[in-house]
Amino acid sequence: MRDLNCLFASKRREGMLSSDLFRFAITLSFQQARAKIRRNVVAFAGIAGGIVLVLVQLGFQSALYESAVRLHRILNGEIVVVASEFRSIQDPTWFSREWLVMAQGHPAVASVAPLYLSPVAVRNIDDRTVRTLLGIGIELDEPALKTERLDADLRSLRIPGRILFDRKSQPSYGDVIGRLQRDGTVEMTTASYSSPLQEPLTVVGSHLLGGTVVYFGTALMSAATLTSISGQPLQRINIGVVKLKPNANAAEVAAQLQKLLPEGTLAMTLPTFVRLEKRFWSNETPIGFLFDLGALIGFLISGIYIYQVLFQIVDENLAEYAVLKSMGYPNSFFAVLVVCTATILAIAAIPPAVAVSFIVYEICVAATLLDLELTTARVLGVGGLTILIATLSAWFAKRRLHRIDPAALM
Amino acid sequence: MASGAILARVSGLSYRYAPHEPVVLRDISLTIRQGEIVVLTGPSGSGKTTLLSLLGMMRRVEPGHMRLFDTDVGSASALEIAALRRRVRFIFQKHYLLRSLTALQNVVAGVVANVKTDRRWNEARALGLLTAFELGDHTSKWPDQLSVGQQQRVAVARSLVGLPDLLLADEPTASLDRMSGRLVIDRISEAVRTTHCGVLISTHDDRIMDVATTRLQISDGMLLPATGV
Repeated sequence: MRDLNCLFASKRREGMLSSDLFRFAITLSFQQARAKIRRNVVAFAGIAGGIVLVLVQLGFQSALYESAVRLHRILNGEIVVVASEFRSIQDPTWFSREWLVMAQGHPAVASVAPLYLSPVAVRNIDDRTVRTLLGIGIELDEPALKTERLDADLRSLRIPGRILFDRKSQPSYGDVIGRLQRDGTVEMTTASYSSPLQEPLTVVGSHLLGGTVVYFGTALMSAATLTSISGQPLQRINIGVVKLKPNANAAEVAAQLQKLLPEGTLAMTLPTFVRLEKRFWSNETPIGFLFDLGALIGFLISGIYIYQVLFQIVDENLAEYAVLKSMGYPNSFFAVLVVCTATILAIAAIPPAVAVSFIVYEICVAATLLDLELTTARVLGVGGLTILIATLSAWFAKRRLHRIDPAALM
Repeated sequence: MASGAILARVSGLSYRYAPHEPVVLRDISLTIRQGEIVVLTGPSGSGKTTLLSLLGMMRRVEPGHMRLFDTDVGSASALEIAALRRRVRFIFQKHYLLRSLTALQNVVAGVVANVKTDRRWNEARALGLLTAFELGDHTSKWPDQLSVGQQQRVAVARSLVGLPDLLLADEPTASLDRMSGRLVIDRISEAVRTTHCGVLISTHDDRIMDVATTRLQISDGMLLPATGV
């Protein structure tokens, strides 16, 4: 028993470094890492490059998801009703408008409003090529969208064939906004492959919703205008937006509406609806997987470079470590030294990586008009994970420490 | 003079590097006591460096042939070896300074692993030693900014800073000019006077012979009888 205690105590003594020795390990690892970075900028750039890749991949992924739910964010209500086969607003499903009216019977419901969504093929006003945008139709008296958030003037949409064009759309439809500012209105036409008819559209204003990866732009119009272009009966609505009376519990009401409504419809809260859309992108399209893979590869690149630099530092300094060992430095000192070095390499690589990522984000925002934003949370998360990966690298590099042998000094 | 406590006792030690290689040391017996400066001479290849490296615990020895501070080195655990190593300092022929540490940090490295040290004391003592080695103006220089003689003096300061009980030195003045060599010998003999450590030095330097208390000669792995001075 006493022997066991001794063993335990000695193990603990070996594992704990005195604060002076710990401080010395940090000083030594910092100075060794600094010297190494100066001599091997390429490997250091590799560590930082991996972090840039992670930040850019995650930025794109988040921008993509956010662009996909931009419309969700401005729905004017707390509960959404859709057909039960609904998966994404990129691919609208429909259900009968009467069913939405049934929801109005619930005592907590203040109002209901239909939203019509349909892809609309239009001709580029400059080169006449066919492009598709997402047509959004609303009832002008009961808008299903918080139109004030879109900086849109709905009054002029009462005349059929008038639309508000997306200021943040990509330029693939021609210089619609430029011409709108110059002339006050712009004439566009739809382009249908199935019908020889081309409906004239008049752009009378703009809004700022922004496009998605599928639709490079959107157009806001009255439900009547959209259904006349798409041929979809007004009776078939794509999304029902339910506004509740104050103090109503959205989750409870959604569950009650689900029972009230006929089979073939789903009632859910707005946050659930947003989650559903994001889940569609991450699970049912290759996009989520691809970006996850990209981020993973970025982490791997950082990890491999950190490991390589660590490996080099240990190898180059084996004789120096052997001297320390000959002076009675415990094995735990070298373990702490390697972990410190790895952490310092990771921490040193983060600021340049964030700076480069910031520039890449700016370039991408200019090119794609997607909302890329380098959030503090993302930087902290990626930084933390990089340090974790560095520690993992240190754990692998630790095996090299068995080669520290004072006999090599003689 | 040879009345201090025994620090190291070697008895009947033989050594070969690998089972089928020739014997390097044959039946070596010696003791090093507190306050002793034992000088080891002998032609190159006679086994001086091997004997020093065994006493410095750079290589493992068989149990029963070598005791340091009354602990049998051959049967000591890795942890005990580390503890013994903290009481022994070795001055190599090469300086083996840490390139990424300044002169002062290198000297501090010689004491910081010892149990119960104080940071301010460590630095103050390291500074004092560097000044004694006439390196007071070079404390924040990197090793590659120093001359060979200065590097070796930093290495000697590193070996003295932790107040070792046993100091082993392998031709410490071989690469030094007269002034550096003199400084190193003076500081080592001063350490013996003030801290009563024991010293084993392999050398051909006559100035070290002058301060020796015991002279040993090694030839072909065998120790010739000790002669007091």
